Amino acid sequence: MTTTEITDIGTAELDGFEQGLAVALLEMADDDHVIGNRLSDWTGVAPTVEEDVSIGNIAQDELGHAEALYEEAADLVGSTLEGLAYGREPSTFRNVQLVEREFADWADTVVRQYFFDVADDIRTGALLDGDLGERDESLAGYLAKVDQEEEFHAEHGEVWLESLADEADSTERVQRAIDENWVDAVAFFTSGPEDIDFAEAGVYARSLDEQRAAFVDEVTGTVGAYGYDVPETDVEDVGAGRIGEHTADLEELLAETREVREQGIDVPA
Amino acid sequence: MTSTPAENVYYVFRRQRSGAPLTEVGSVDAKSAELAKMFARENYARRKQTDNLVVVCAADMEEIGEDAAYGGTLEKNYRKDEGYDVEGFPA
Repeated sequence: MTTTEITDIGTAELDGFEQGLAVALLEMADDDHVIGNRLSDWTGVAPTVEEDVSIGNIAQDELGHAEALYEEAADLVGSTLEGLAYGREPSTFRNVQLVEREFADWADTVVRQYFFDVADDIRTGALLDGDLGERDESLAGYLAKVDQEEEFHAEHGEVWLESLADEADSTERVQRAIDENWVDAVAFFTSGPEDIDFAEAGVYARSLDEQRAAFVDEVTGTVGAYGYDVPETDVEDVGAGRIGEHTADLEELLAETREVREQGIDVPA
Repeated sequence: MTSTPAENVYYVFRRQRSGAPLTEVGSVDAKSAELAKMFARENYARRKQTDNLVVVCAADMEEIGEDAAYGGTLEKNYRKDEGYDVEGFPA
């Protein structure tokens, strides 16, 4: 399985920067679309009623980001928001597996949401420090606001990591979740089949390798301070989601998002 | 159902805009002040303009109680400030 190359998705002719930007936007949009829907699994059943509202708010934020980013990507490649969000085969989605799998428990959710938000924050920072500001001021302005929301989401994760660190059972669950999700978190900093050099193209100010190093540093320091360990990772051994390799959980999730549309009911995305 | 212990109840106060009084808006149940602040922000600031939010642990609040003879026991209605706006909002 491999995802469709960016130049084959839409109708537009793209220069090097635009191709890189389109890939970046689509990866971001797919991540947000999938994690937003996945986090919605907690609606009504989160650990406390206060957290129910909190996690629901975060899910809505992510879905809002996805909508805006699909629109930007669609404008760039010559497609539509609906086409990108609802018209693609699961095997062409570029999200990391980190965001698609069903949650095992609350600790698993806290860890994956935290990994995702730290990674997303680093990626968005790299994009904002690239040439985007010169090429598209309005998109850069929007992303700066998105970045602030992501920072708050990461704080939400940190508060939970800290809260779960003071009892043996919850600490063990968080550690298990860290161990199980680490490879998928590191795989965040990979890309699709185009093999784009994002730093060279001016899309990201820092290469994916540099972003990954910043992520490992940040996470290792933060979770270490709460007493958790981060496993060693062979970065050669990660990949999967960005090139279109997914789990059955993604197919089910996307099928659910398409359900209303497939009944012929025309709803705005 | 047992009620939440006072050390896990945090009252939430909102200042709607700079200079306005802190107003109690509700409470959250949380095991730490950090968690309480996060819950307060998500539950009480998303839909209303908010300049600041403050949480206070119920266990840290000192109260006089409902049985006290506030303002004395004799008729002293002349002391009451009804009709005057002395605290930033009508009494």
